[in-house]
Amino acid sequence: MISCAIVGCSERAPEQTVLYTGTMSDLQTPANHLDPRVKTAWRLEAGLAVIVPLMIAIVFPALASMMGIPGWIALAAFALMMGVVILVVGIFPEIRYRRWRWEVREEEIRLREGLIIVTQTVIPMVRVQHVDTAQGPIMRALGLSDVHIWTAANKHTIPALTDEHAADLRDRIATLARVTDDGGL
Amino acid sequence: MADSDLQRTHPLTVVVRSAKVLSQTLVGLFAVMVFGAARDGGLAVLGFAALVLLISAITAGSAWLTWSYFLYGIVGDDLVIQSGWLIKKHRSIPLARVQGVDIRADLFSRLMGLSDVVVQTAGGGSGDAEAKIGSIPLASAEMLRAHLISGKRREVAAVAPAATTTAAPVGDAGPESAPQPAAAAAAAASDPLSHMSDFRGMLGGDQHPETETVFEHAVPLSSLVVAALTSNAPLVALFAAVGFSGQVFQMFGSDTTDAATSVVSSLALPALLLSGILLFVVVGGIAVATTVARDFGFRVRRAGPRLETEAGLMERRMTSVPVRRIQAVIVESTPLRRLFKLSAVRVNTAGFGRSEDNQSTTASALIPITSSKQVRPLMHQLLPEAEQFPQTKQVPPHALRFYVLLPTSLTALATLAAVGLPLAANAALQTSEALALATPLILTASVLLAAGIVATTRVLAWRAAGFGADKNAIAVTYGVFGRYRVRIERSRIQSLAIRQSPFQRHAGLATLHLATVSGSSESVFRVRHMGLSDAVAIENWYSPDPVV
Repeated sequence: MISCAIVGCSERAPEQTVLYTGTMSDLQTPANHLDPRVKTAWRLEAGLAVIVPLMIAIVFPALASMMGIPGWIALAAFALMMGVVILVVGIFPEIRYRRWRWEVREEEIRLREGLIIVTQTVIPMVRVQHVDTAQGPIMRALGLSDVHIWTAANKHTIPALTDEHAADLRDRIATLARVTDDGGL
Repeated sequence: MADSDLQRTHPLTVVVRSAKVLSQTLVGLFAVMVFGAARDGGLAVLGFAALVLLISAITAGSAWLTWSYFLYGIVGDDLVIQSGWLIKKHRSIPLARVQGVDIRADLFSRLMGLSDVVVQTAGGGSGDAEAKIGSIPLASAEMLRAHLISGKRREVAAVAPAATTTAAPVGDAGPESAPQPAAAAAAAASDPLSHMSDFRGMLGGDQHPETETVFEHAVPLSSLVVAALTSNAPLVALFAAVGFSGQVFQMFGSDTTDAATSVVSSLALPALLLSGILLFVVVGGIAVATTVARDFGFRVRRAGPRLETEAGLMERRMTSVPVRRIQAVIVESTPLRRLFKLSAVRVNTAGFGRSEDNQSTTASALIPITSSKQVRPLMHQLLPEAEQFPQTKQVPPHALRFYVLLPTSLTALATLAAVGLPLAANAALQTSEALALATPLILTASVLLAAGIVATTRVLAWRAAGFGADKNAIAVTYGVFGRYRVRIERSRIQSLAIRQSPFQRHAGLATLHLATVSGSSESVFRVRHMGLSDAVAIENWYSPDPVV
């Protein structure tokens, strides 16, 4: 039972009734997943980011023996680096993909994302200022696009939808946002 | 659109702009000349004069070019500004998107009867959030402001004679003592500097051109001094003085091995204390004086759908904010103000904040200082739409460990490293047995002290953290030694997010993020470690398409 102190009451009128109540199960999950190819895109992006440290880790054992550093240190460094690579290239994209959900309703957009800290966001359609699509080189190669949703405060992104789907979604959000526009901030 | 629809600012703009630039450059040049004259005699003075002439000519020429290429005007439903002689810029701002309008005038401009109009547009504090029309006569500024804040309405409000106004400065009096012209006159008479605070009065303009003023609240000088004294500025000065004294003491303290230095040190200690106190008084005094000068003659009035404020001793500033553009209302009690049961109220609007100068605080101040009891009655008069704060409840008791454990552990580790590593590296420890014995004690005491302080502040933060919502708005409370209450209309929240870490998931807690539009950095309000069911209730309250 949600206390009257959370919703529905005010300093002046404490007798007002509770408007809404909620439980853990009410934190409903948005319906749609991203395109599965996003995992490839994320893996490529992560791979590019770790390629230099990976090269260092590969040549480090050889350098270490020349510099007189004990072999176990070089091995531990290599193992650590490989662990990081497996995590960011192999495991994290899979978890991110599973967590990522989105849903565009008539009156709001719901997003759920996060690797370790999970964030669920609600954006009322009436607050959408504009919407656009964008794609980088990797996404373009895979035929995917991001949809950026701008409010007056910040930007939200639904990543990696097929180009056609992203364009349709962009137009749909723009139409819904226009319908619900209240003419300002 | 024809350029004939647009107009130039006042020609004196060239003088004002040149004078501002020159006053800043010449001080530096003069210093160079003094040093140069000491070395090279008359030659340096001659060189200085030539340089001043050259810089003056360049500055004046540049100011003239800037002025002659700067055009502004209201075309259709847009404010159009054209500028730039090297790089041309055309800016069109829809009147419907204007968040607020300032009129500012520094001392020099006031002497010439000129003022700047600063138009605030939404932009999250970016540079483009402001459009400035510099140096136009005050009457034109007032008319332009009337155009801009009336949105799409093209007609300029008729200027009413001063006698028709019902506004009255009422000091700290609440609505119980209804504003009376006689009382206002008495209040003005008791404040010898009050005549200086009337911007338009000083410049010979109409006292109150808007007939729709329903309430005006003037803050007397004495209250502004109290506000400055109880702000965080004196505390900062105190920390600066203590820090300075500590540094000097270390310098002296490390040199007390021989008898002669010891005598000097014993004499230096009182001098050190005295200089610390002097530093505190000087730095604190400057900070307080700056704050008072900034807020000098503060007035806020409710004029129909707008809130208007004016303040400032050197630079007088009038701000006009449409009430519907207000994003959040914040009632704040700094630690010192809490002791004396004082509060301040400020509003977040979309346009104000990280502007080109340091006036953002004034821009958003609604009531710089008042007794906590008077907040509600004053809000009732000035901003009845946001008078009522929803009742709040605290975050749950089991959230306390989330507030305390992590920051305290991190502080303990950091202290251990910061104190322990230098001690371990100290060569004296290897030779002195007494020092080696004292080390663990010093280390333990340091870690306990630091962790204790952090734990205490985190417990206080947990006690202050609260939230609550009624039909139209949400309230969030936070603070450590001070106390802050924020009220945000539901329709002003741009997006809402619930975040959960794995630990929070296990404990049934979540962190709520409310994103609002604000020029200041304070645009996302958080309730950390609230119950998940409460967070879901708030999400349902906010959602246009709730689950329940």
